[in-house]
Amino acid sequence: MSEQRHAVKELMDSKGFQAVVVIVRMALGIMFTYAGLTKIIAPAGFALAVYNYHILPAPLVNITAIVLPWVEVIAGTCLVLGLWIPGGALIVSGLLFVFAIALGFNLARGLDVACGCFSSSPTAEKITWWYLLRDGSLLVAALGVLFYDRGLFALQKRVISSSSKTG
Amino acid sequence: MMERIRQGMVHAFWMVSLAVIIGTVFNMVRPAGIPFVGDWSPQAVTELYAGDLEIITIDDAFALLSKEQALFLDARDKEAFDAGHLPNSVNMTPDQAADRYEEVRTMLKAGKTVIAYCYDVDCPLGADLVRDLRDLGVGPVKVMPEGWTGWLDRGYPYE
Repeated sequence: MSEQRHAVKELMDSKGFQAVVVIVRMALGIMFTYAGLTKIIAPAGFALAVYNYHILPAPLVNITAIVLPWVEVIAGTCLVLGLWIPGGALIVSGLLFVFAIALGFNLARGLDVACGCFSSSPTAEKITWWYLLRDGSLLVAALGVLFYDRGLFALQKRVISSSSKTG
Repeated sequence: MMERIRQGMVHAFWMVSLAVIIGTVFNMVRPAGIPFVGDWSPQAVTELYAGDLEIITIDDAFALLSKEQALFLDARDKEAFDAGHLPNSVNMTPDQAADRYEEVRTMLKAGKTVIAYCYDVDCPLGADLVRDLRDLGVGPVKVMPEGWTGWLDRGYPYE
C-alpha cells in the first residue's frame, strides 16, 4: 500500500506531470482574469446578468457585480504569476462550484436566462448542459492545481528561494 | 491536502478582502460606476428593458383584443408558445425578426395594434423584438412587459 502511495507521489512530482499542472494553472488564470476584466468593463451589464440568475436577493445583486469580477481578476492573476497558488486555486474552485450550483439550479427549474459565464451581455449565451459540463471540467482542473501544483514557474517560489539563498 | 486547503483559505481571505477594497474604490471613482444597492423592482426592470419603447398594460391590451383590434407577437421560444399563448398571437423570436418583419408590416397595414410580449417583466425578449423590428423600419409595435405570466394572473383567456 505504501509502495503504491509512493509511486503515485512520484508520478505527481514528476516534471512531466508538473508541466501539465502549470499549463492548466496558467490557462485557468488567463481565463479568469479575462472573464473578470470583461465584467469590470461593463458593470451594469454584469449586474443584469447576476440579477437574471434570480438566486441572490435584490440588495446583493449590485455589490456582487462590483466585487466578484475583482475576485476573479486577482485570483486569476495570482495563478498566472504563481503567487498564493493555493488561495487562487481555492477561489477559482469555489467560484466554479458556485457557478455550477447556479447553472444546475436554473437548469432544473427551467429558467430561460442567459449564462453570464464569460460575458456581460445577458442575452449572449443560453444556459445549456454544455456549460455545466464545461464548468465541471474546469472545477476538476482547478482542484488539480489546488492539490498538485508544486510551484513550477511560480514567482513566489522564485522569490522565496532567491531570498533564502541571499539570506 | 488539508494543509493546502488551510493555506488556500488564508490566502483566499486576503485576496477577497483586496477585491472588496479595489472593487469598492474603483466603482466609486469611475464614471460608469453603479449604485451599491440597485433598484431591481418590476418598474425599474421594465424601464431598463423597455424604457425607450411604447409600453401597453395588460388591461389595455385585453380591451383592444376584446374589440378585435390587437394582434400579439409572442417572443418566447416555440416550446413555450406551443404550451400556451395569447389569442390572436403568432410566435416570433427576436432572431426571426429579420426574416419575418413583412408579416408584422402586414398586421400594421390591417390597422391592428401589434403588441409583443415575453414571459414577464424579467424577460427582455419582447422588448428586444420590438427594437429589432424598429431597426428594420417596422413599427410602431408596442411591448407588454408583464407578459404571459401577468396575462394568466389576470385570468384572461389564452389558447
